[in-house]
Amino acid sequence: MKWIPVIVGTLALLTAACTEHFTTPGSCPTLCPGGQAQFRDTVLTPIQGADSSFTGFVDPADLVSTLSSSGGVYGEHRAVFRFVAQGDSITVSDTSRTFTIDSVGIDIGVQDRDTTSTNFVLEIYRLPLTLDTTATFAQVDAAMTPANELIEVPEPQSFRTGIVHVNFAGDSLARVLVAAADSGVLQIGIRVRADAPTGTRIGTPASGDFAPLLSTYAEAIGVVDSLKPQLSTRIAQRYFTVTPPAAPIPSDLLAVGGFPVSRSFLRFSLPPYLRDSATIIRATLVLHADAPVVGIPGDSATVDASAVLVDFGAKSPAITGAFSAFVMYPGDSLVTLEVGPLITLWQGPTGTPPILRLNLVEEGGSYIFPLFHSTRSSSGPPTLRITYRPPFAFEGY
Amino acid sequence: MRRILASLVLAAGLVGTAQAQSSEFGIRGLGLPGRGLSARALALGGGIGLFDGESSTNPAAIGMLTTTTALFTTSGDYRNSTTPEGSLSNRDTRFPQILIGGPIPRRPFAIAVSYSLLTDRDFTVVTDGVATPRDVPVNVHDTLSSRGGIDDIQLGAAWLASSHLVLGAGLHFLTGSNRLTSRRYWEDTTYQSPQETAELSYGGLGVSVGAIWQPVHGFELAGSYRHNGNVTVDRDSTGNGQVKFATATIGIVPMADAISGAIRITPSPRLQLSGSITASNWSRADSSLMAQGSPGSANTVEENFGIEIFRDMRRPLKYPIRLGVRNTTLPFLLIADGQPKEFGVSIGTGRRFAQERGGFDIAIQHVWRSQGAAYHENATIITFGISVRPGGITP
Repeated sequence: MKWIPVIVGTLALLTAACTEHFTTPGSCPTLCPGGQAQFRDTVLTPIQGADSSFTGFVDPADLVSTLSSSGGVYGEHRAVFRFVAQGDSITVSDTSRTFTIDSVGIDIGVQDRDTTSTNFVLEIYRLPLTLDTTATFAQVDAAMTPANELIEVPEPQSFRTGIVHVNFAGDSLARVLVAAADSGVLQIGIRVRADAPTGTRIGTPASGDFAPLLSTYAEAIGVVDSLKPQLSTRIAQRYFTVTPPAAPIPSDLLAVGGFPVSRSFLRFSLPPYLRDSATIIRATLVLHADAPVVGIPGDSATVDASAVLVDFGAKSPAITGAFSAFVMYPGDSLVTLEVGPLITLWQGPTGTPPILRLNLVEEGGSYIFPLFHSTRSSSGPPTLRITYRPPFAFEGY
Repeated sequence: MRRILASLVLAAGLVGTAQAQSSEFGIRGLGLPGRGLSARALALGGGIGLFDGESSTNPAAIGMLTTTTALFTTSGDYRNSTTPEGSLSNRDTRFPQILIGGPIPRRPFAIAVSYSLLTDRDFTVVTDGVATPRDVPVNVHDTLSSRGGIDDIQLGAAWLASSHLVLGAGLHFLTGSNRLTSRRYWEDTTYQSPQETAELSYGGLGVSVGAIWQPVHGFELAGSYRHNGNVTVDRDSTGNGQVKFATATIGIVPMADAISGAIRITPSPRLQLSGSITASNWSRADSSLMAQGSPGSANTVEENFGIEIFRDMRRPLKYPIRLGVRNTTLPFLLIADGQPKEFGVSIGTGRRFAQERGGFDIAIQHVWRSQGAAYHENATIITFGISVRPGGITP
């Protein structure tokens, strides 16, 4: 009978080692207490007249791209960069020393350009420091004279994106030098031209690898030869785009992007059954542009819809991380944004305001500028299609 | 000492996850009824339950505890369930019976408190299908899960009225909760798959009385009657999106009364026969459950029979052979047509050691449950009970 403890022990271990596995193949309605989940659809439009656009967002320092274009569908834009001041000395072997400049290089990051236009030329001008962000397009363009031109850089037809490097040495060096006593600041303006109206996006320091750079090759005075060649690199401290005054945005349209930058706000009234007791499983915001958007062929821009924390009108702060994105390409006129996670934030007694903020991710740095129909438009207002589940009948047996 | 260590090793192996029995027959209504029996009684088909102080079916049986006793049982369930959608094997672990009790010194009374499962609603149901929420077909997978059920906490007392008669009474607190989760997964990931949750809590009271009478040596009779009141079902919370609802009473379910009778015959010192029958009027709950979407409930009759063979008369509790058979109807209908039923056979044994200060019992049951031809399952249930009697052998 010595085998009895062995059997008992084995059975005890089987009991203890049992892994939970509850799943039963369902057979509704027999094995579905509470019934089967129901799903419904509803379409909401913004509160009549409560969808609005505001213009004037985005500081120039926040731009990822500046624009430079030569009319046509792109309009007129000029890009301006002001580099950090050049000092009157450089440090070599822990000692500040005077120097002589050997050459100067300028890097311009072209993020995208219209390759359908031929004979593309990048014109780089030295601009007076009196032209700052308050300068008008006319003032900046007027300063782009042959006398102020630093260089013209023709690019081949195949050139779409990359770093344009120009170097100034010898006779041309004086054109870019700014004495330290005279602020030491170099400001340049960029204009483009081609056989047809064209446009380009030029990177700013916020764009990373496409940041404009001013490199100075200098020789320190009073050091051994091996320490003489010195390089100082300076980034643009200010940058902005100037453009002729834009036409007013039609009151029946919602502007997103453009220059100066516009954002739009859509205000909804969420019915109580959605706010209090439904489980929202999908919500799709549909926006109709008044016309197909234009831009550099192949370029794109992203329309973001964000939830806002509180309704402060044009200054309503968006909730970080609560957004939905849709990528628009030139020619697009329909935007569909999946905003389900944002709409769920509106639910409950402590929900956020039922508002969606629309903005362009590349604010101020894209030619794509959709104007969407609003509730004031004769057709195609924004719609929010919500698919939801009414409360499940858990109390069902 | 070696034997004690071996027994402790066996007991240590029992540490596992606390979950309850799940069965397709526990999905509708209040769940699958529990049994409130010790491992020994389960091995005997339940026939001895009304005489067993370590079970909770008869408060008079508490008087059978001759010393302070603590009992803990765990159960593993290996099951194959079949529905019209297919078959699936599943398994779970539960702790179906816990009891502490014993006699009051120098008084003809014994008391006990016990925990047992009254009904069990552990299940997960998975269904697949196609939904067309925006007139576009999307494959979906639904999961409905429930964990919990109704527990029975009994405070019982027995009076040893004479050497042949024991009377008992018990107060039953019906409590417990169901944690329910519903989730739909969409294969089109533009649809979110949030889960909706709720917790139902149960509360009610019941009373029971019972007696054990030994008119002649080797022949005993037992009977008990239990009355359960209504169970109030509260929905404690429901999560829909970010919204939580306040607690609300969503139903009152009348619980079944049960009347039981049992007989135990000891024709020889080596052999003990026991049998019992229990009738419950679960039809009381029918209208209430139907109002909440259930197919309803029906009265049940349970018949149990067991044989215990003592191999060693000097130490009768050293690996006796226990055999049992059970036949019952189940109260909660899966479909309106017919009534589910269960048939089971069992075998088991046990051992007392350290002068009966410790002991274990084991029962292996195999049950067949069915309603109609479409819904059936069979399960092997291994139940292991550990008992501790600090006082050891008592006169």
